[in-house]
Amino acid sequence: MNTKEYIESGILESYALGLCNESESREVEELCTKYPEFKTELDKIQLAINSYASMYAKSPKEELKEKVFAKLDLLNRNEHVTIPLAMRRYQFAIAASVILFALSVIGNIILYNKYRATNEQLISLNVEKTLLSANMKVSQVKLDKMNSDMAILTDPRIVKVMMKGVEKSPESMVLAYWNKESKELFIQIKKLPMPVQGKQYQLWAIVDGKPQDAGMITMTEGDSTLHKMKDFSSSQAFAITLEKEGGSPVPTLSDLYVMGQVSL
Amino acid sequence: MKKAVTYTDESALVAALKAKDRDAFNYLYDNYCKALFGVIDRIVQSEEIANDVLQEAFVKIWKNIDSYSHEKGSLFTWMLNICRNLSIDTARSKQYRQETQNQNIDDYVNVINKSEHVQVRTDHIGLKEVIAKLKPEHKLVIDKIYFEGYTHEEASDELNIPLGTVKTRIRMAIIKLRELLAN
Repeated sequence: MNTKEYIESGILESYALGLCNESESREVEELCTKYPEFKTELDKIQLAINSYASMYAKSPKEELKEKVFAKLDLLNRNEHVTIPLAMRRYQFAIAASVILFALSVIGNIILYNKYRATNEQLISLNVEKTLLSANMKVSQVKLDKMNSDMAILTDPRIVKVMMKGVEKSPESMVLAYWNKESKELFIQIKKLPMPVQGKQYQLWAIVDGKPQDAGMITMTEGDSTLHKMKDFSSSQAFAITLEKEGGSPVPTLSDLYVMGQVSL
Repeated sequence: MKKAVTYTDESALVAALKAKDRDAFNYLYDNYCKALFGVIDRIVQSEEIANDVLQEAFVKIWKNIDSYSHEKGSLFTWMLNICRNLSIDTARSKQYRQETQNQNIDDYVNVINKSEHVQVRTDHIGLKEVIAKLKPEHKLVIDKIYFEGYTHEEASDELNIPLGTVKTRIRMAIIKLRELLAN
């Protein structure tokens, strides 16, 4: 470190005039602690500046001293006894805002929890509502079907044919409802085993001794509704066989399940 | 009557000030108010405002005396810097500018005359003498920086001289001041 060069750089003057930035100031302070000659030089510079400033010395007005000390005494009292009023007001304001904020936070938590509970309730009510309305629709469809079934069944022109189980399935029973005038034919399954995968029941009408396809039966578990089949103007008997899915042009007699004669 | 307190060395004074001793502040006021007021008045260019700033400065000295440390310079330097900073802030504040603008021209001339009229302290070399011996361009740079709070760059812009010249002039001015003071 070249002491002379450093001093001649004018950095000490800059420091004394408050023109150094933070890192420069730190550097000057460190060097002054390390090297007494810098400190001595800085002190001299400072003294020169202070002396120059002092040349402008001038008396403030006489009453100012009293005012200054009144103010200092006030500060002193407040420092010892209590916090200044403005400060107290400030602290009060801070305390008040902290309390208000805390209350608002608590309030928000309560409201949020209520909101969540209500929202959950609403969601479950909505689900229930949807379920209920779905059930109602299902019921409505069933009711409509039953009503129309009922209308068919109560028609006085209807002929009821009971198809009983043959040796393949003695327990089985299917009813046929046939309106000879309108030619409409319906069946109602009372008891019939569910067909295996790939198989389907087929209804046959025996017309003049020959079996004629009367339609495929799409069976569902526990189904007791009327199935509309093909129209027939004449038939002596009805029978159901189990065929491959989609039906067969001729009945497979070995898979005959039920059969019934139309009573005259 | 109460005996006036004197302090033989600065560290004793500082210790008393840190203890918020009223006599110490009394001593401080009596011994430094003129120098501090002079600087403030020179900066704010209004005695009325300077009185307010000096009061504010003493309050600040009272409040911040604990942060003063001898290592960073003398107590006087510390106080001068408090006064300078407060004054420069005041001079740059909007309210101050409005107030001085509201003064009529006669008052303003008065202020200028007053600020040029300086009480010369008998134990110091006179301002007029110093001014006479300082080169005007050197004094100008020192005044811009010390009394108006200019940075090197601002002084360079304002006076239309290179930054290096600003620094050289500062150094030259201070060397000259030191010389004059040594005599």
